Amino acid sequence: MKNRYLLLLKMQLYNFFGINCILNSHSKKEKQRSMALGGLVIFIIGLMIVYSTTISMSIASMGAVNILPTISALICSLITLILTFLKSSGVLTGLRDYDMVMSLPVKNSEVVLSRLTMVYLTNLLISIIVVLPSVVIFGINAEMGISGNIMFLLSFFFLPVIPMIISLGLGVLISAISSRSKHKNIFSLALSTLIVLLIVAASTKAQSMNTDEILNIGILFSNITNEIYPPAALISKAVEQQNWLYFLVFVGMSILISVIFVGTVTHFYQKINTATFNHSATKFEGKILQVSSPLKAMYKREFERYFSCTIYALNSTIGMVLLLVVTLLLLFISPEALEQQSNIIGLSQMLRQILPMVIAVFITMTSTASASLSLEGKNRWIMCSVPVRAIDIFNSKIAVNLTVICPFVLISAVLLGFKMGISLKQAILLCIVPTVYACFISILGMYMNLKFPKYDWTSEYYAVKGGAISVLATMGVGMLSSLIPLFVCIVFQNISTLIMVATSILLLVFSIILYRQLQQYQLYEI
Amino acid sequence: MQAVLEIKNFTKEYSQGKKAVDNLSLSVMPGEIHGFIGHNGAGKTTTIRAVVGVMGFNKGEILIDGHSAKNEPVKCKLLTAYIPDNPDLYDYITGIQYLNYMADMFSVNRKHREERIKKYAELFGITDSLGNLVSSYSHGMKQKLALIGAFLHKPKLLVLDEPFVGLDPEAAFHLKQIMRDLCSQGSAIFFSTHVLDVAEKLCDKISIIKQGNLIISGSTEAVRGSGSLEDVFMEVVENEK
Repeated sequence: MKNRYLLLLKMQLYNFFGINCILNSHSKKEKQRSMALGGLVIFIIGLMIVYSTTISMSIASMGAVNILPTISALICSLITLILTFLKSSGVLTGLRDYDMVMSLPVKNSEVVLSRLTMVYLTNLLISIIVVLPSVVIFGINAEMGISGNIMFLLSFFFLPVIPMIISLGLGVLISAISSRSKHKNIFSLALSTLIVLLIVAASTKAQSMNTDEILNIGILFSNITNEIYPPAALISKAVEQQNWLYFLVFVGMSILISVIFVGTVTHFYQKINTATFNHSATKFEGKILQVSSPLKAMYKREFERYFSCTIYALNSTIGMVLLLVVTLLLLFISPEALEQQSNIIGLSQMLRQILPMVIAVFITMTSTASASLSLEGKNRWIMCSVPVRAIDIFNSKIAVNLTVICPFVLISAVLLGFKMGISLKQAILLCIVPTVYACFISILGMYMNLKFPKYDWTSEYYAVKGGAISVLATMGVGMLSSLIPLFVCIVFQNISTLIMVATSILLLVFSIILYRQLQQYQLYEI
Repeated sequence: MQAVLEIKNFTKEYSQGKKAVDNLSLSVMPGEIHGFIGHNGAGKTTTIRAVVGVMGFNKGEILIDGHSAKNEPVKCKLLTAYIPDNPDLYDYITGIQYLNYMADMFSVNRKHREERIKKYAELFGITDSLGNLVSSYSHGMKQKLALIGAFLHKPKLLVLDEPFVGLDPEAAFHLKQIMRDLCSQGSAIFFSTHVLDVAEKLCDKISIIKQGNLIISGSTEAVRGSGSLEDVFMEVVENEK
């Protein structure tokens, strides 16, 4: 008999990036879609490897090649920590195929292990992207013995383990706590947002510590590492001192923590999931029903959907939460103080000028629309059979995206505008640029989800993350559309207004074209 | 008299040239209960999905109360109610929120929606559960909720895909009663089923489809002849082998 753990894992891998559809579909459209997906994934991975290599080479050219193991361990751990946490709610609890899987002759531990392996494999990919270029640069530049290089190379198999367990542990804990609450999704969302903010605050703290000690960067990083994340320090020491004992302690620690976590989760797995699926039954007492127009009814339902899925809300709102954090930080640090601290002359003036583009970067991270169609999943027969035009359905989804973006942008723009003392011209740009970007990202998200829908998910996680091409593509195109003009504005400050106006006009025209495309769609094509 | 549903030379062809339904024509008149029978994979659901506008089609025409499903989809959907064979509903809203949503979508006024929700929820025995999340409902309860949602706007055409699967005997009895009531008020019903006894007793007309082709269509008496519907169905299947 085949190992059941491997069979469970195989079923999950089939769903990963729609691999099975790519292999078995006979539809030409599906093949083209899969090729586009594959191309985009390879492009993103390539881009990340180039980025990671460039950073490693810069560090090596500064003569600080010895800190590469620490830095890559720290970056890899932080990325794993944040990304795993964002998807933690859909990994171990609340899965649609829970009943089916649990009715199979498998042990709880096999189910838990198969789920964890899937997350581990995703994180391993990130680890390879971050660590492998560093290993190569380190091997070429550092005068280190063979064992140091081998330890560094082997480390990327273990680096994601501890942060992954921490994040998943927090996710399970939130599920367990919030399952007792009637409004468990909102509770879970609030807790999750709080934890993301704590992680972001911790990493911001780590980054802000390097301003005074830029010359002593090696000591600074090892201090930070020791303070924040001791396992990374172990790897650093192991490689630096070529000490296998440190390396084995790190590996042993990773394995021990994993075993304890798997054991604990296995023990409580059924209990936690039962609580997640349980609902308190209350007797319905008739109340006056509110009558709405079809569009308003769809908009309200979209909002219910938004709050019903923690991973969806968290993933698509994180950009706005980060914008709020940055706004609050800038409120307490004056632009002049920032200029003095960073030693960048003219930073305060530059910030005033490029503020609309800075806000735009956060806006382009926010697209509820890019997963909204996929999330209809098996319910989409309702959407297709109700008597409304397809564009009305898209409008309701676009409206939700705009509703999520607008309050955050308004608060940030007003607060930062006053704090920085911007001119009238800058104030006008502060109104126009974010508005255009908000419309653009909402329409783009809708369009991408129409082009790359994913309805056959077993967990909402797969519709929102886990290879959801529409989300990746929207974020990728969106970020490029804001980061490139931002960069150009920084380089050519004299004509930054012109750049922002031109970008806004271009994006507005592009949004209109995309919206017209949306209007052409028939419902059954979705 | 104008047919409530008229399917003319309907053909659904998939990308590799395989025809799921080939040149199917039939009509359903006001006040008629029309049973659509066939093997698994015969093309019943494909036809139904095209009728309710959930799926596009290559050739032919589908008219609902004289309106083209291709050219006037919204108008057609306003006149139609559809329940799929396995109605997946929004798990994250309560039963009453789902019904109110459907009433909003079909622009049912407050008086009528409250009256009808009360009437049908009591009939199906789910009034007490309307305040609970749909995710807490059993399969049968979800089906009852979907049925109530379909009745709210008094559809001119009710299209049901295997409506009796999963319903308890009492609910099945009430559903048959509601179907007859709707038809007595001028609506028409087009439904697929594997339960031949029910089809025989309930339907005014029967159509049998096999491998995408309509084999036989007519009044229940004419189709059944002197035997039972089961005999006719088996005979048709055997002869076509």
